[in-house]
Order: sequence, then structure tokens, then C-alpha cells
Amino acid sequence: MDPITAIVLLIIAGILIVIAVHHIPVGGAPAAMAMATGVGTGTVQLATGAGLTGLVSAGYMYHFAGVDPYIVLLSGGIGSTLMIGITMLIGNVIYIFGVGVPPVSAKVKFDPITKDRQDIYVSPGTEGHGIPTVSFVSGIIGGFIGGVGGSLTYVVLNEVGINPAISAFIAIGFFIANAVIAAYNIAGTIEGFHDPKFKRLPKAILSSLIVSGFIAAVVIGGVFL
Amino acid sequence: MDINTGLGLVALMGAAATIAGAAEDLESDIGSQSNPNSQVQLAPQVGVLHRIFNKAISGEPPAYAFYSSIAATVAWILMSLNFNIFAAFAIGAFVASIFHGIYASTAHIGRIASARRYGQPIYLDVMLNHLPGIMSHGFVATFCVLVLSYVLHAYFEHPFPFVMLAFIWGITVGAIGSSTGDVHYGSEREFQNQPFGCGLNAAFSGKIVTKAEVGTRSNIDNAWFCAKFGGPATGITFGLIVFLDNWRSLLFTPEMSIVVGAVMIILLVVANRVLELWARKNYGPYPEKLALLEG
Amino acid sequence: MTVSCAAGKEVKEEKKINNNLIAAIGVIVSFIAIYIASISVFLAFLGAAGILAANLWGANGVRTVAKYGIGTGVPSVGMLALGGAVGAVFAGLYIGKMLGIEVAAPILAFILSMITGLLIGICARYILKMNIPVMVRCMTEICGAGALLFMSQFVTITGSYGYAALEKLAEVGVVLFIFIIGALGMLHPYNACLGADERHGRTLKLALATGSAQIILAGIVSIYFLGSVSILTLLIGAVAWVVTYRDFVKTSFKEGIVVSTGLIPEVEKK
Repeated sequence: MDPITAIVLLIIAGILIVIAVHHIPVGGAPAAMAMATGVGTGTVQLATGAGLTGLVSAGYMYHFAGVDPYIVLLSGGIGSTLMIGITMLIGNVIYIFGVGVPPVSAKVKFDPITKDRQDIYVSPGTEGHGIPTVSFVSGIIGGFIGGVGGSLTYVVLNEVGINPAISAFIAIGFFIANAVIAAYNIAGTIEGFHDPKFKRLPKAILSSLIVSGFIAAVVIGGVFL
Repeated sequence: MDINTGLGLVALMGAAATIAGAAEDLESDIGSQSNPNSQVQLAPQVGVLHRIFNKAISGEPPAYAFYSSIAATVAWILMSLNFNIFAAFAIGAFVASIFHGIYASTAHIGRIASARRYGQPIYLDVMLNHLPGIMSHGFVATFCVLVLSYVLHAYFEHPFPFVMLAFIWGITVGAIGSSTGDVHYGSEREFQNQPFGCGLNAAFSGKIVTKAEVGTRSNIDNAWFCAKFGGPATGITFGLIVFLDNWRSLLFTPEMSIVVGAVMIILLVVANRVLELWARKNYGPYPEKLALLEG
Repeated sequence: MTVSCAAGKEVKEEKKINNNLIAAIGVIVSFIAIYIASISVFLAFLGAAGILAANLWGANGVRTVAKYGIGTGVPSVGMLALGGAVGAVFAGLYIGKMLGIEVAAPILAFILSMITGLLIGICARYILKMNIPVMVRCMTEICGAGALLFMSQFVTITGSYGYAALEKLAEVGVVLFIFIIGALGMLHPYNACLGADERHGRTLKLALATGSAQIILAGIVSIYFLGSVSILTLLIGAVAWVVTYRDFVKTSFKEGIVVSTGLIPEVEKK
């Protein structure tokens, strides 16, 4: 792989990670008290957990199955999506049976996918709770994109000849740096692609372009020096 | 490796993951770590003094990556000295739990000392009573993370080193624990003074329950409550993730495993929709909000 | 037992601790430690000073920026410190090896890491429009501290700071162990002391304690790489930890209200 392609692919990976984080519905600390829609944890944490689970699947595929890179990327994406999907599903089980609230969004009046009425199901004094279908689907998309982004970083670094362990190490650092940039843009909570905050995405993409561009340039530049 | 051994090992990983998830969640409930911690932190400010442990080491994912990496590193050094692997895991997890206890104690002392102006005392008995529970649950969780990382590394010959796998699964188990089980603690147990079936009204932020069934509530009571639902649910989440993800890559060809994964994901979306419909139908809209329907 | 809410008034105004001074200590002590410790494996324990200084600097940076409330929690800042440094440390050490200037490699890694942090800071401040004036400076500082912490750990654990050390540590995955103990060491002090009566001096005392805990951990790992010499690191770490941990607990007990046991005190409702 030539250096320019590698740098471009790494930048794409960084941007994919940022896009992914914006898709994942996180409610931060308020969601843990059923005060906000989304998964009850921090943005960086959940995205990193999902992305790294995908990295484990991708790493396995890349070294043993001897398959095309795109299968590796898809496998990483599916691994991440499974992690985030199961987490959201059981999260909802706890919201519904443990807390007794229906999953509902407070940012839209009607769920854009199912067209269900939302606002009357929001318990008083909260910003929604649980993970309604639109956020669930958004999370699934986010998990997939994030898994692909993380695996792409790993595959590119391997392809330029860095050994697997160091590639995974750099990929983890790269993932976290980009996830934090996205988290700063989100500032706390986001419900998914229907959230008004999602419109801020271009700013995060631009930031990721600059930061991942620099990291990619020094890493790939160093290797090809 | 023949397919039966492989399936058995995947099942073992799933079982270890289930125990790890459950222990992780209960441990975070004993310390009120992660997101429900924000209410414990807020409580003195709104005049609710408490005898609850405030373990703000960090978010759960970095914290679990921390314990798992320490345990894995120590275990790996011992294994390279030809220790029995289970002895190595136990010693590694023990060292990790010591550091867990150290960081937990500084977090509790530091946070409570910073709440001095509200008159919140540092109870030494609270600290000493809770630390063993925190460390022992942390030990169980870390030990199981080591088992599952070791199986993946040694039997499935995963290209990532053992310590790296433990780190990754540590982050994942922490992320899952704080996303699923903690909701049960944060929304329900901390606010049992609110009616069942609603989220926390922002006006009641910080007004956590401080009285137990008998006497004063401590986090040991909270773990007792969350062990009924939040803990096992977290365990099932982590177990399912580890089991399903490895099951599909073991049984099918790479291309087919992606298809199988995609089918599972579609099933998850469907299951979520079914759950959502069930909740909407059975719980119905909030009476306070029904006015919105007409207006 | 009743504790009055007026207890807060007793807290004295503390004297200002200079951030520039901490930054200077962080950079100078770490570099001296890295270079001296790499001379011989018998001096590897001196890397401990680098770990302490870099950790102190990073924790101070985390405190300065997280005080503004960034909406994503303190841990993300700490994770960023090391996450941003990863690529730069790899590139710096690799380029140093390839060009045959191993001596300059740590400086290169440090500078690249600072630039990464600077870019993240500029993006956060001017593109994402975060209203935090210290953002640029602090992001640069914590990424720089992350790089120094990495290299101090390398030299303490393996006795050298070059690319070979990174490769050795990465192949067995220990590099992620360094990553996370470093991140926790930097983010824990402020996260653990967060609150209305948080005090700069007390937070930094905890930073020294987490730094010392890292020295102990580095000592444990270096048994594998350096053998019995690492007992020195372990001993120094243990002594430093006992001193700093005691100091932190004493300070907190002095500043907090300590009771051995008791019921919840009555507070007059406002």
C-alpha cells in the first residue's frame, strides 16, 4: 500500500469513528436515572467498548481466515453492532421491567421510523427515557460504522507493515482520540440521527480531519521514511 | 481444533463473561461508581447527607480496563515463570483487587472531603465495611475476564497478546455494566421514594434514599437489591455478546458469519420493537401528559 | 450529633500553585530521568522520577481543564492524554530509530505529541466552539505529559526508551497496561477530589500518590524484563507510595469531617 492511500484511508477511518459516535444514543449520567433518552453511560466509553469489541473480531478474521480486507471490515462492523445492539436491548429490558418506563424520545413528537406518538409517554420532569426504535436503529448504524472505522485503522496499519500488536495499540489510541473529539462536539447527550445536535456533525468531521490527518501523517510518514 | 471442543470453549467463555458481568455490576453498585454516582455526589448539596460509598475512581470502562490489565500483566509474568495458570490468574486478580481497594479508598475520602461545606462526614466504618465487598466482587470480575481472554488467546490463537485482550474485554465489560445494570441502581434503588414507573423528575435530583428497610441504608443493601435484577441482566448482556460474537466466527465461514451476524442484528431490532410496543400498550401514556393529546 | 453547615467557612484561602512551575518540573525532571535511567539497567529505577513528574503535570492539566465542566466527564480527558500521545510516541521513536538518532527520539516524540494535543485543543476551542479558554494550552500539556509518561514507563520497565523497548512491550501487550495505568493516574486525582471544597494542593498530593502506585506497577512488570534489579524500583515505589498516600489521607482527614461511626446528622433545611 502506498503512503498516500494509507493516509487517506486512515483519515476516512477517523471520520467514520466520529460519525459513528454521533449515531450512538447516549444519555450520559442523566440516562442512568431515566432522566434522558439513550444508553446510560458516557459517549466515549460506550463507543470505545463497541469499537474495541469489533477490533477483536476484525483482528481474528484478518490473521486467520485469510480473507479479503472488506470481509475483515464487515466482520469488525458486525462485532461492534452486536455489542451495542445487545447492550441497548438489555438496557431497554431494565428500563421497562426494572424501572417501569416505556422507551421514548423527548426530542421529537413522533418517532420518525415507527410514527408513534412520543411526548405523552415522557414521564414528567424528564427528557425521555429508554431507547426507542429510532434511537435503537441509529445506534445500530453507529455501531456498524464505528466497527468498520476501528477495523479499517487496524487493517491499514497492518498493511503498511507494522506488526499486529503495535497496530492494535495505535488503533486503540486513534479510536479514543477521535471518540473524544466527537464527545466534545456532542457535549453530554444525543439521541441519534434525529437529534438536533446531530446537525453539528460537520464541525466534528472537520476537527477529525485535522487531527487524524496529523496522526496519520506522522505514523505513515514515519514508517515510509 | 474440532468443532465440539471449540463450542465447549466458546460456552466456557460465555459463562465466564456472564459471571464477570454480574460481579462487575454488583461491584459498581457497592461503590456507586459511574453514572448513579452523580446523584450521590449531588445529595449533600441538596441537604441529603448519607452513609453511602462514593467510589469515583473513573468511569467503569477505564476502571475495569485498569484492573484487568494489572491482573493480566501479573498473571502473564507468573505464567512465563511456569506458574499454574489458575494460580497465576488468582494472584493477578488479587494484586488488581489491592490496587482497586487503594484507588477506591482515595476516591471515597477525596470526594467526601470535598463536600465538607455541606456537613457531610467521612464515616470510617462505611469505608472499612465496603472495601472488602468492592475488592472481592472486583476480584471475581477480573478473574473471569482473565479466563475468557486466556481462552481466546491460547486456544483460538487470537493474534492480540493476552494483556491486550484483557484490556479490551475490561473496557467492554465496564461499558456494558455502566449502560445496563447501573440503570437499575440509579433509576430504581437510589430513588425508591419516587413512585415506580417514572423516570427521575429533575426537581428531585440528589434526593436519594438514605433510610434502609431497617436503619440507615448502605451500599451493601443496594447490592442486595440489584443482585435480583440489574446484576444478572448485566451478566447476560456480556455473556451474550461474548458467546454470540465468537460462536458465529467459529461455526461459519467468514462470509456466512457476517450474514449470520446481520440476521442476529435484525432480530435484535425486532425484539426491541416488540418490547417497546409491549411497554407502550401496558403502561400507557402518563396521565399528566394526556392534556397534550387535546391541545 | 449535629454538624453545622457553616463548616465551610473555616476552609482557608490557599496560596496559588503556579501551573507554569508544574509544567517546567514535568518536562525537565522527566527528560533528565529518561536520559539518565537509560544509561544502565542499574539506573533504570531513576525513571520513577519521570513517572512522578509527568503524572503530576498531566493531572494538573486535567484538573485545569475539567474544572470548567466539559460535559463528558473527567475520564475522557485523561484517556485523551494517552490516546493522543500513542501515534506520536510510535512515530517519534520509529523515526528516531530509522534516522539513527535514538538520542533525539524522545524529544521528537514529545514534540509530535504536543502538536497532536495542540491540534485537538485548537479544534475543540475554535471549530467545536467549546467555551473553555484554557482548552488549547491544557490539551497540549496533557498530550505532552502522556508522551513523557509513556517514555518514563518504558525506561523504568525495560531500561531503554528506544523503539526496541516499544516493540518489546507491545508484542506482549504490556504497552496497553502502561496506557491505562497512566490514564487512570492522570484522571483519578481530579475525579476523586471533585466537589465544592476541592483544593489544588490536595489534588496534587493525590496525583503524587497515583504516580507512586504506577512506580510499584512498573517495578512489578520490570521483573520480567530486567530481573532482580527491578527490586530497586519496587522499593522506591513502595516507600514513595506509603509517604504520599499517608500524606493525602491525612490532608483529607484534616479538611473533611471525620467520624468513626454514627447516624446521619440532622441538617437544618434551607
